[in-house]
Amino acid sequence: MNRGRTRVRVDRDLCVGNAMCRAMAPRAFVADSSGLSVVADPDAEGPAALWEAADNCPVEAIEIHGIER
Amino acid sequence: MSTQLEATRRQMRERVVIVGASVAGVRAGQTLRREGFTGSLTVVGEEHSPPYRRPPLSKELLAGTIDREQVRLGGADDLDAEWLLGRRACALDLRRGDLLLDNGERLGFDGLVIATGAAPRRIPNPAGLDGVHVIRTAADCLALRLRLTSGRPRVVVVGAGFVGTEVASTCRSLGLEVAVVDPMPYPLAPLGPLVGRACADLHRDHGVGLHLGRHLAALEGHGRVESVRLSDDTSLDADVVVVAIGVCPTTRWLNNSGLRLDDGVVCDESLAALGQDRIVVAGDVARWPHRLFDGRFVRVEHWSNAVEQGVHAARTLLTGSAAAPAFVAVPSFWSDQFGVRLQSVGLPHLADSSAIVEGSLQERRFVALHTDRDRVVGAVAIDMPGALAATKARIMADAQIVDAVPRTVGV
Repeated sequence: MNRGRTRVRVDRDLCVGNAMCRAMAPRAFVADSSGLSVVADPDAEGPAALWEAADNCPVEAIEIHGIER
Repeated sequence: MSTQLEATRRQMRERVVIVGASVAGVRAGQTLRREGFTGSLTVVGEEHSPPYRRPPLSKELLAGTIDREQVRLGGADDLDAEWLLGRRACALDLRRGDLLLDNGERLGFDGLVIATGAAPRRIPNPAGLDGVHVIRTAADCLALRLRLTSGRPRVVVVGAGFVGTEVASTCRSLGLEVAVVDPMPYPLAPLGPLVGRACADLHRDHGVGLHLGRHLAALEGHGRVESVRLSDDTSLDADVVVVAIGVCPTTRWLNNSGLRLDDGVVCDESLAALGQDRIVVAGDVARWPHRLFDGRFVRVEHWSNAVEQGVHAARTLLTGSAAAPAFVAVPSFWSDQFGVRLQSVGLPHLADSSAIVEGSLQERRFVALHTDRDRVVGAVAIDMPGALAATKARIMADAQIVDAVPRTVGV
């Protein structure tokens, strides 16, 4: 895994706080004070969990760069 | 993992069949694999193409700002499944535990995921006039795009729901003349008058001709559509007509199956088909009692619902419905029109009133809170990103959790 070059982003214009990402990659995503998801430590989760989170975001708000599926 | 769960998994489901190769089916398949299902997985899909994302069909793909390859659905490739694409399920035999496919083949299963989605409603076109389109599949989208980009056709969109208003927005971005017809007094009627009127203003400001409070009476033309006649006898010139008047859940193949059908496949709250422990349902085709809304039976056509139900239904299949939790996700969706982002959570159509609680109509940035007898049932945000998470929490808090609806007993 490209530690350090990992780029995971939650588009806050899209996120409505469905929390699927927090269920699928709980160390990578946490809730902020308004209930939206923010990136915590993406390197704490493997690529599979990160991609699961992105695939399963109901509003497709998660972007992943530089991590192979 | 509990030993009971392990036992259930051991004894069950050597072979799971997923009928429907769009997002609900694919997410169900991914979840089965993720949660340890190692048996054989077969996905039956009516379309020939691999799974793709539908939200861009009325927007970016129609506008041509992204191409077909860019709408491929992530996660479908590594399912370790047998894909039967271009195949349709014609019948389900509960006693035999198998499906009949349109090529005459029978497909046995230990577990079944029904995710057949919905098909667009059409309007009578007795003369078979050319130029009348629906938009549900990628092929529909590309066929319509071909029409929209040949010359400068005048477009009439029938239906001012999400698909209709998004198509109108896309047509304007292509520089086309477009009119929208709908029997309701404002677009996006399920979201209530505040949002509907804001949407109407937005469309008028961008040059869309709105013909509201009227319905389509007839398509007119010779060989191809030339105009449409409305219920008040108005005639609108039309080279292309896009019919966006909603969808019907795809359940005809289940008519004689014994499954309970009522505008969708009726499920218990775990998403198991009513009275069936080894059949689960997900996406546009599922009707289930929603605990957060008095246990009333609902069917939700949002993309996000198909994602979340695919995941949940797969888990129910693995654990058995008696042990599975209720599906209680708060529905949500988004729409983009003329550069304005609209987001909704909950079920605003259940509301008896709505009020702006943040922003204003004048700014065209606001949050409208939808209530039913003072209880929050939904909210819609126009260009107010991030505003709805709190409402979701409130919907969940306000819900009076009803007693569970019977799981495996027919009603």
